[in-house]
Amino acid sequence: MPLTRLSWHPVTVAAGLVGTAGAAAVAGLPPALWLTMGAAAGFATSGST
Amino acid sequence: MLSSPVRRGSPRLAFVAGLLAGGTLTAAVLVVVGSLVRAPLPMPVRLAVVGVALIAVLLRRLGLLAFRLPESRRLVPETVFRLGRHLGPLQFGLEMGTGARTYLPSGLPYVGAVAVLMVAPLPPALCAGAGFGLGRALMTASSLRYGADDGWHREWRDHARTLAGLTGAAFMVSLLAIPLWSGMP
Repeated sequence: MPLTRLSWHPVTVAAGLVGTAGAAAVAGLPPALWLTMGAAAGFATSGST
Repeated sequence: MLSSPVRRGSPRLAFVAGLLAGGTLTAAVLVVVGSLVRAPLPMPVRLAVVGVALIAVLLRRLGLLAFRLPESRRLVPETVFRLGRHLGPLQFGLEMGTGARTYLPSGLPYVGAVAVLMVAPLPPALCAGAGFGLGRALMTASSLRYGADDGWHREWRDHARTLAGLTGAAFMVSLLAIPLWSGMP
């Protein structure tokens, strides 16, 4: 699979969200945590469209 | 499937703006309603309510509990694009961004809504709402960059369980860290 496609693969994007959540949790940034929580919930609904 | 008008150029920006506006609008409404609901409840009780919602959705996802979550069982009608090159995508994004005007195939937004309702002050709530819109925008952006065909959505269907696990993990890590870093008991 070409690297560009792999970068935008849904699993890659979801893994990026996990990484972002982990970084925000370690850094202790509540606004970023709320933002990431919302983004994970929003991305999880991607099958609906 | 998203239609082509939201896939290119400035209409796409209008669509993303609609998603962000929809998410923040829902979050603002939840905070207003929440300010009444949460007023008589001490913080530990409010956190417990969020925990119960999270556990219920997890058990439902694992097939151990069966209940229906309220959702608008419709697609956003494509007639919204009659509103114009920018207003159409904006309206489309707004309806999707609220999370209340179309299908929600995941339980996570419901838990997020309960968290906003029970514990979020306004600024963090707006962050959560904007995040929801951004999360939905991520789908458009990544599927567009993945390729013009239906491949991204096919990959989503093929990896549905993995994706549910990853999005659930990102959601739970964020949710569980919020009380730790926000000084909640």
